[in-house]
Amino acid sequence: MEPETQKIKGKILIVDDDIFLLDMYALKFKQQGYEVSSATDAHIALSKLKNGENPDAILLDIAMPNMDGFEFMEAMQKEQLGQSSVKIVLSNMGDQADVERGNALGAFAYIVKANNTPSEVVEKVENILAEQKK
Amino acid sequence: MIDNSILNTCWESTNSLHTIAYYSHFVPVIAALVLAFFVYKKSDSKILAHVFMLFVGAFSLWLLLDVVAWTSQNYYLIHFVWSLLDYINIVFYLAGFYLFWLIVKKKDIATWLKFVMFAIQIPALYLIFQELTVIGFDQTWCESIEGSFVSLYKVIVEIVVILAIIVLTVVSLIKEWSIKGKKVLIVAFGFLLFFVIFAITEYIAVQTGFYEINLYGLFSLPVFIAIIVFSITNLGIFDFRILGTQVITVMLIILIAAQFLFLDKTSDKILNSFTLVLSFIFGMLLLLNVKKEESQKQEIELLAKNLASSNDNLYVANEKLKELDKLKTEFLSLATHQLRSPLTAIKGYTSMILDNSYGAFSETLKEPLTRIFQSTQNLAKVIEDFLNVSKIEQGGMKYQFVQLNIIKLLSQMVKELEVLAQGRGLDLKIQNTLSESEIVFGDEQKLRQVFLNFIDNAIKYTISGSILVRIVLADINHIRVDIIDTGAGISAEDKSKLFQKFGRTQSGRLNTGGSGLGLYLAKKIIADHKGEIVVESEGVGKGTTFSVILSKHENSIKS
Repeated sequence: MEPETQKIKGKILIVDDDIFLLDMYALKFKQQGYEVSSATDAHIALSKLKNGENPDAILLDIAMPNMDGFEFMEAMQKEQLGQSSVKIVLSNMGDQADVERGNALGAFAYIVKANNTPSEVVEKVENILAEQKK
Repeated sequence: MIDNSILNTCWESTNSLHTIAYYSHFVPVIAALVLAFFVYKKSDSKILAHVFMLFVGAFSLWLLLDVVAWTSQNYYLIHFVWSLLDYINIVFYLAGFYLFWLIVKKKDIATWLKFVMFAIQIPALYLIFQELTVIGFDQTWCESIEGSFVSLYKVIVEIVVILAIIVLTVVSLIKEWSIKGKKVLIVAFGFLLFFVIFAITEYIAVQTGFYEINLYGLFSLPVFIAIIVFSITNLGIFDFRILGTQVITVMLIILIAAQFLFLDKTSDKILNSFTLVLSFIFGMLLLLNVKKEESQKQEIELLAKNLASSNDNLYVANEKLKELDKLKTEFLSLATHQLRSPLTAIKGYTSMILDNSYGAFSETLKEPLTRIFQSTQNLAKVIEDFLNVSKIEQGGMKYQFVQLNIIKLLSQMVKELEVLAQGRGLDLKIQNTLSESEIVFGDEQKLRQVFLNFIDNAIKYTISGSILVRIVLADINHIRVDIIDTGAGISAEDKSKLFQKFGRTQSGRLNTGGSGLGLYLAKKIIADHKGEIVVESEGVGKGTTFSVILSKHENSIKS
């Protein structure tokens, strides 16, 4: 079902330790015309960025082993990686404190996974990217 | 050798003073010993009881020896007791200082000071064994001739003790002039009065030969005893009032009984007997009263102690409950967070099957898949509610109060839910009586959650008819949103249960779309907006109106 011939709408990096969800979002974004790169660990994501990947949006989970989403954003800031990418938190931790912390670290939006279907997530990301391009 | 004829004459010359000698010596001895006995028996402070016993014992011994010196006809006996008097005099002065220290300082004296005090009495003791205390007998004046050194030494010790008591008093008063300071002053007055009068009368007697003054000087002892008793009863030094009353009663009876030594007339003796009996009766009544009062006081103290203990236990239990409640809330928060991940996968994959992300699927699977999806939606809402409750109960619910166009928000929501209502054959409408730009102060997400709950419930519990969302001005400062349905209605008794956690009404209406927490959360959220929720229904089957009143002003929310 992947639209092989469709023009690439953008590049998305998804960082999530839950392989089921990672595959699910990756498939949905690919079907909607995005080039998707995925990482099951924040360290892998950092390596990808260091190796020259330059996604339009980075969708990152918060609760991850080894390095959590907040630490990942701090590391990106420190190493000046993914500076042109829109950071969107895609997590099931939706406390106001988490949202505020994410925003302070440069997250553009905060999406609670359980409250949105993959289609709704793609729609929100599309809207954000469209907003950014204006 | 002693001329016994002269000695007899000498004894005769003091014969008139024998009665007063007995009276001035025996009464204080008995009173002091009674007091010492009670103090020793009942005092919690053993060191205080021992020193008090030493002081009273030494002084009583001195009095007994002195009365022998006054009344005996036996020269050798007089000579012997006289040789001991100065030494015992020094001992009870030192013991007196020790006692005063214990009362004022409420702690034992330093070991080195004990050694100093012990050393002070050694020279006097040594002189007794060297037979240098009394060096002769003056038959003219009927007295022993004391060694000059021991007399001087005794006076020095007396002066030193008196000065030490004064210094200790002054130091205590400088340190703490309060109620405690006043108590110290009263005790010091008692000690000084006794020691000074005793020393001065002794000195005058020796200097002038007017030994009778010595006898009168001893009358300061009852004053001293009275002050000690006062200290016991009022200053809490020995901490028991009954003891003080017992001592006073015994002393009074002894004093009245001692009157018999002076009374010659039968009528006076009868009168004194009456006084004695009456004093005895009143003394016993007084004792009984004090005992009763003390027992009541102890009961009250016990009750107060028990009450304090119960309060402490309650406090501990309450803290434990709070801790358990906190743990429960934290567990709930963690558990619901953990539940969200698999739920997201189930919900996400189901939605993707339904939107053909995995290709076409059999038509027969559509309905069950849709039901799975709807169930995950409901479950997501339940988890959201649980999380919100745990946030509220942990005090962690945060709001972003902004100027909010309430008309726009409600119009959007009605538009979103129209499809759902129509699917159930219901007519969902919005009616606005205000300006389109009317604002309230609130958190958009939280208010959306509240109104979603009300409208969703209205759809769920209305079989046929309509649902109207009406926006009106409640008063100049408040906007009211009414959600009016023509549905199941609520009985009067169920209204109070609606906003409880997991509250279920008799009509079977659960207070939310599934978690049992929806209306509870709505009430909490609106309360945090300083708003109000009112529910009206004419009864079961007659529809329900939920009204949410919100403030238009920021100040009223933040106040």
